[in-house]
Parts: sequence; structure tokens; C-alpha cells
Amino acid sequence: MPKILVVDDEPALRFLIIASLEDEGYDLLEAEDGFQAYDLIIAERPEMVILDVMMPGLTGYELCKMLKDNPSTSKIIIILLTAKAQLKDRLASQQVGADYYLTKPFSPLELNEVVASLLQNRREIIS
Amino acid sequence: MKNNFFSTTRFIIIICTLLVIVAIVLMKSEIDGIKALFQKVALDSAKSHFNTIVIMRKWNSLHDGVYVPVTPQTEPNPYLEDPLREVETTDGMILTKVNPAYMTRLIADIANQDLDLKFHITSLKPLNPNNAADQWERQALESFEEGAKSNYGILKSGTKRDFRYMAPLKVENECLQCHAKQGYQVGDIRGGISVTMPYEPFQRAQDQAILISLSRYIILLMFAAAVGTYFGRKTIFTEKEMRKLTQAVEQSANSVVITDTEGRIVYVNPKVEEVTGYSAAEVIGKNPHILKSGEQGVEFYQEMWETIGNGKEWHGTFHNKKKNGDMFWEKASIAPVRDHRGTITNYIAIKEDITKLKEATEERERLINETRQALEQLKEVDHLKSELVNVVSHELRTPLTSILGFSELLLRKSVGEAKTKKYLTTIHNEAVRLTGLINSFLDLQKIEAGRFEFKKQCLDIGETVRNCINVYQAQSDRHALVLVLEEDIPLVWADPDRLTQVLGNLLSNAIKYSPAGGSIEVNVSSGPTAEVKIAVRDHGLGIPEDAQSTLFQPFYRVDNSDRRQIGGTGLGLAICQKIIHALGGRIWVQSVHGLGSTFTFTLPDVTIQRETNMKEEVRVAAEPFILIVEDDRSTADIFKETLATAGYTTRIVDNGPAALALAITEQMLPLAIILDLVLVGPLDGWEVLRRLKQDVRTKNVPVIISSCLEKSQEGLELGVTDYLVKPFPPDKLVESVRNAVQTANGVVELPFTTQKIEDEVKGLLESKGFAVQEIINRDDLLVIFIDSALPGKIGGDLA
Repeated sequence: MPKILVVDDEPALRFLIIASLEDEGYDLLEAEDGFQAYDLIIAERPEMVILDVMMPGLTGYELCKMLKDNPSTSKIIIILLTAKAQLKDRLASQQVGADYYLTKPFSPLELNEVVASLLQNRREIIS
Repeated sequence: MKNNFFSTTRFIIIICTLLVIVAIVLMKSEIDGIKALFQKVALDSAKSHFNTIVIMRKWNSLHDGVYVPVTPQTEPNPYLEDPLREVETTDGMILTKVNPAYMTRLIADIANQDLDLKFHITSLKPLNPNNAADQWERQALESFEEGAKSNYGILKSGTKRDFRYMAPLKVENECLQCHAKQGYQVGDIRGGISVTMPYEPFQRAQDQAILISLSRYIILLMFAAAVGTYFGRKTIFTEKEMRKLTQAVEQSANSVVITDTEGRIVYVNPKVEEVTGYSAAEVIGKNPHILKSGEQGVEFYQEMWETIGNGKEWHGTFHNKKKNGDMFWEKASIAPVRDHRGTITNYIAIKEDITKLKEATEERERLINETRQALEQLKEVDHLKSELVNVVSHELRTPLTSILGFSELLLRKSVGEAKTKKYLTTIHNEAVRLTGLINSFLDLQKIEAGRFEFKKQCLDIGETVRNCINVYQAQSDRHALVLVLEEDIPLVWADPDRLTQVLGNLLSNAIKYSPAGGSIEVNVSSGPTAEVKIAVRDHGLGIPEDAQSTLFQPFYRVDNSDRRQIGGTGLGLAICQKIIHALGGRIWVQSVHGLGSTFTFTLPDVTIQRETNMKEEVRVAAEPFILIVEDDRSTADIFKETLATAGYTTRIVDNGPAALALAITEQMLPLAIILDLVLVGPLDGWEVLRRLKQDVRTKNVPVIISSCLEKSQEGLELGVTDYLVKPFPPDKLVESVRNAVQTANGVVELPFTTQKIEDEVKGLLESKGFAVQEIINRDDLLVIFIDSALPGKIGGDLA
């Protein structure tokens, strides 16, 4: 049962992401800001983090970079949720090492498929 | 240079003048000398002639006369009494005795003929009457008797001048032969011989000598005159130049100050007085530092004196003080003046008053700066606007994501009823949020375009705040919203909807920026100056000091990078500030970063509103109203208050023309008109009523007469809706107005041009359950009758 952490300061969006994924048999965790997310990641070691970029305190970019720079957390799959679809946002997502990014508004079904295929890829690589 | 030139010129002119004077004196004396010399020559010549005669006479008298043959030329002398006057020689020749006198006469005849020389022997007592003395000779003879040795002179006889000389003949022994009988004794003056010779030859020689001498002097004089004239003219020319230059300096548009080497002023031109206010008399002898303002340091003046002391020109700008204390700027150039030896004698300062120029320059710089600042601000605004686009993008996307996401889930997946409801609730809430965001934008747009409408009224602020707190308390269980309400808070004059908007904004900010929760206090107190103070205090993040001043600018958000997600558009406080200002209050923030913030605003209490009552009435236009036409102000106020309690807005006019103007020309018709019949001014109530009823636009506006006159019959004939006879109870007025408004056919006049809009309006009205009857339909005017039983304000809402 893959563990997925959903990080967004907007309760409505956390709710949407969870609603999109809840029937797929994942263990879904929630955090409302970057610091809370980091603590949960260290404690729970999720396989995937769905991370909003614009958050108070620690932004999604910063948290992503922290996780990817740390060998013990660098394997965690990270999907960034950005509000903008401009080139510089895509580049920023790549630079911090995110595995995928989605632009708001996003389709819940698309998210669902992306999550599933990323987890599938990871399992194939490991096995 | 100039001094040198002048001294040399003056010297030359003086020398020339002296030279001329000496030459003239010398010339005069030389001419006199020449004249004297030639007189002396003439005199000597005359004397020698005289002496010759005297010697010859002596010789003759020594011989006691001589005998000569008698000839026609030498007749015997008739005046000689001598027995031997004629003698006969042995050979028969008759000889006659020629005595000195006769001989003299004979010689004189020859001299006269041959030499133009006249000898005249004469006496005061002549023997020969022909020898009588002429006048000059007589005077001479008389002078001889007084002891004179001789007498001479130049005498004019006709056109020619004669030199005459005369000397006495003294009686000698020999003389007595002839003249003893006259009683002379030896040594007496018996007479004299005058010698008369023409002076012309001497005169000619003298003139020639004078001419020669004169010509020398003339050459000298001409030379001196030429030199003198040259320099003299040059001096005159220079003086003219000098006058011109002096004039130029006097009339100069610049100040000219000349000092001596000690810095004492020796000359100022009139411009100096004009500029400084000091007259020439006041400054001559003083040092120019009387003008010092003290704005410029010692080094400045030291540098100046050093420069000009070294003989160089100094250029600079003084900030000086006038006599009256005004400051002014002078651009100065100071140069030393040297004499012909090169020694500095004076300093000349030429100064230009550049105060105006300076001011103009400063003004220009100020404008440039302002423009630059404005440009910076524009850039800042531009930057903020693009920031805003980002923020808005985020703010719009967040609710949109929820709405789209949940609706997609509902469409694509089969979800249970409970979940469906939850999803739909979220969709609804997010849509509401989106609406609020859009409204914020529109509000700001309206405020910036000046189209924000305020519906001000008397408000119990405590009530409004309490309602707001209840709404926001429900949204957060982590925060405790506390109301601290002072007793006896006066009513305020404000728009309740806008006030709620401001309070809501401040409360939601307080909640948002206190993420850790805690208490949020709203403190309502009455200020000292007829105002009510509302303070919203939180214990949250606080606001850095440098951000506090820009907090109320549109699009501004503290620390964009990490607070963006806290939400909001950056417009809330800007909107709040604009609303509070429009309501006549102030808003400000006090905050300590990290410890929380207090946002405070004030509202004028209702007493302020009373003072500005009339103005407000005129300004607040687009609202349905009851028109009160009443020239007694206190009565009008009672009506107003009475109707206000019944929820009617009123407008008061005190004369007929104003009533017609307000009733007819305003965009909106009154709901009803309360009309007094007795009015001051050109139109009384009857006339106003007639005109209202004649005008197609106003004839359906209900008119209620309020009068002391009991003429209800006439009133009703003219079409009034009700006729109230004063005094009447307030209730009656309210009842009458309500009836009039409700039973009247509301008439709305709309300047619509297209059928589409007409249809829309009709559709709108009909959808609200009104029967619409179109009675006039011209291209530019549509009058719609709206059927009875309308709520009071519907006509206005439509307009």
C-alpha cells in the first residue's frame, strides 16, 4: 500500500487530491505547510509527495530541493503543483529535481493516472 | 593703463599751453623791442641830421656868416639886420650874407627837395614869421624851457607817418650878433630845430623785422597748437568715450561695485541699490560683506580674496542678503584694476542677480525630480500590477481547480450521496470565494474610477461590529473574537454595507495573519473630536516597520515571497482605506513585527453629518427620494426626520424654481412631492403645482399639499394626491406619503435608443411580476407605466 503525502495550504485542494486518489488503495497523508510535510516525510517515509509550490514558510520548490539533495530522501517521487504554466516554472521544477509537475487547474483523473504510472515505473526500476 | 594715458596727455596739453603763452609774451616783447629799436634808429638818424645842422650853423656863426652870390635861390635875407648884408666884390659881384638861420633854411630847402627831410628852425619868438612853431614844436619848445633835452615822436600827417625830432638851440656868443636885440643871454634857449623825416623806410624795415620774428613764433605756435589740439581733441574724444562708458556702467543691468584694495566700496551703480536695497550713500566706504548672508563659509571668501589679491579674475556665486533681509543669489566676476605701474589700485565686481534664474533652475530640477519620482512610482505600480497578475492567477486558479476538479470527479466517477454533497459544498464554497475575489476587483476598479456609491445613514456601530464578529467567529475555531464596546457610543454616519466590508476585511486579515490562533479584539470607543474609533487587534505575525507605510497601497502585500499563499489579492486594505476616506474617517496601522497588528479606523459621529447635511443631500443623488418643498426650515427638518424613520430619503428645497428644477431636470423623479402653498420667491405653491401637473414628465408624480390654508377643494381640482392642513401629526404625513407612493403609477423615463434594451427592461419588469404598458415609444424616449402596488422604491431602482 504505497504511502502518498499530500501537501497544500489550501484545505479545499488537499481535499480534492485526496478525493481523486482515495479509491485507489493508497495510504494518504496530509500536511498543510512545508515544515509539517518535512517532519512527516522523515517519520513516515512516503513513496510519493504531491507538493504545492506556493506555501507559507517553506515553499514547494525549497522542500523538493531539500528532499532531492538528501540521499536518504532523494528516491521519493515528487509531483509539483504549480499555479503557472510558464516556461520558467517548468524550468524551476526541473532544477529542483521534481519527477513531474501539474498545473492548476488540473484534472483529478489525470492526477490519478500520473500517480499510478509514476509508482509503476518506480516499482519496475526497483525490481 | 588709463591713468598713465591721462597723465601723459594732460602733461602734454599743459606744456603746449605754456609754450603758447610764453611764445606770445616773447613775441610781444620782441615786437616791442623791434619797434623801439627802429625808433632808436630813426631817432639817431634825426639826431645826426640835427647835429649836422647845428655844426654847420656853428661853422657859419664862427665865420659870422658867409657870403654867397645873390641868386634867385639866395636873395638877401630880409630878416637880417646887418649893414654888411650885401657887399660888392671888387669885381662887382654882389654877395649877400648868409647867417646861420638863413643857411639853415637854404639847406632845409635842399634837404626837403632831395631827401624829403625837413628842417625847421623855429622859436617861440621868431624873427621870421615863417619860422613860427607849429603845435608839436611849440609843445617841444615849452618842454625845453622846463629842462627837456630833446623831444621826438612819430606823428601822423595825413596818410603818412613822420618821425619828428626836436632839440633846443642854446644861446651862444655868436648868436647874440643877431638875436641880442631879442634880449637873449648866453645859455638861454632861443629856439630849436625840428627834424622831420618820413617814417616809412623805418616802418618798412621794422615791419620786415617783425615779420621775420613773427614768422618764427608762428611756426612755434602752430606746432604747439597742433600738438595741443591733437591731444586736446583726443582728450575730448576720450571724455566722450568715458561719458559713454560711465553711462553704460550706470545703466547696466548688472550690479557694478568698485572697491579699493582694502575692500572699501568706492563706487556702486544704481543697479546695486535696485538689487540690494542699499543706496550708494549707504555703502560707499563700507565693505561689501555687509551683504553677507552667512550662508557661505569663511573659506569661500578667503579663496576669493586670494584669487583677486594675486591679480587674477575671480568668478563665483554669492548667496547674499538684501537690506530687507531677503536672500538673493549673485553671480559675480571680480577683477583687479592696475595703474600704469601694474600695482593693483581697485577691484571691480560685476554681479548679476540670478535669484530668479536659480529659482527657475531649482523649480526645473524639482519638476524633473518629481517627474522621475512619478516615473519610479509608475514603474513600481507597473511592477505591482504584474505582481498582481501573478497573485490573481494563483488566487483564481485555486478555487477554479477545486471547482473543476470536483465537478470532474462527480461527472466521471460514481460517488455516494454523502460524498456528492461534500463535493458540491466545496464547489459552491469555492465559487463563492471566486465571486468575492472578483467583487474585490470590481470594487477597486469602481473606487479608482470614482463610481463607488455610498448610501450613508445613521448607524449603531456596535450592532454592525457585533454582526461582523459573529460571522467571522463562525469561520475559525482557533481564534477568539472579542468585542470591547465602550458605553454611550454615538451613532455614526456611514454606509452599513461598506462598513461591513471594511470590518470583514480587517477581521479576515487578523485571522489569516494569526496562523497560531489566539484572541482578536475589536475595540469601539468614541474619540475626542466627534468621531468613533474602531480598532481591530490581533496577536499574529505583525508587519515589518518598513512595510507599514505602503500597506494601504493597492496591490501591496507584505513579503510577497512567503505570504502569498496566505491569500488575498493585495487589494483589501487599499479598498478599506478608500472606503474609510470616503466615509470621512481615517485608517492606520500600528504593529510590532512578530507580535501582532492593530488596525484602527475612525468614523465621524452623527453630529458631523448634521453640519454637512445639505451637501450630502446634493451629493448623494442616485437614490429615490421624497421632495419636500417647504420654506420653513424647522418644519422641513421635522418632515425629513419623520420620513427618515419610515425609511424614506428626502431632499429639501425652500423655493418654487428649485423645486421645479429638482423635480423636472434631475435624472430621477421624486417618489412624491410634499408641497407648501405659501412660498417665498417668484413662484408660489399653486404655481409650482400647476407647472408640475402641466409637464408630461412630472404630472404623475404624487403631490401632497402641506399648508395652513384650508383650500383642499382647489388642490384636489388641480390633481393633488392628498391635502394636509397644518398642523398635522407625523404619522399622518407618513401614512399620506406611503399611500401616495403606493397608489401612484410610478413613471420612469428612460432614454433608451434600441428596441433590444426596451425589451430587456420590459422583460426585467415583467419577470418581477409587473404589468408593463408602453404608452409612448419614440426613437429616443420610452415612457413605461408600471402598474400599481409597487414597493416604494422600485421606480428609482429601475432608473
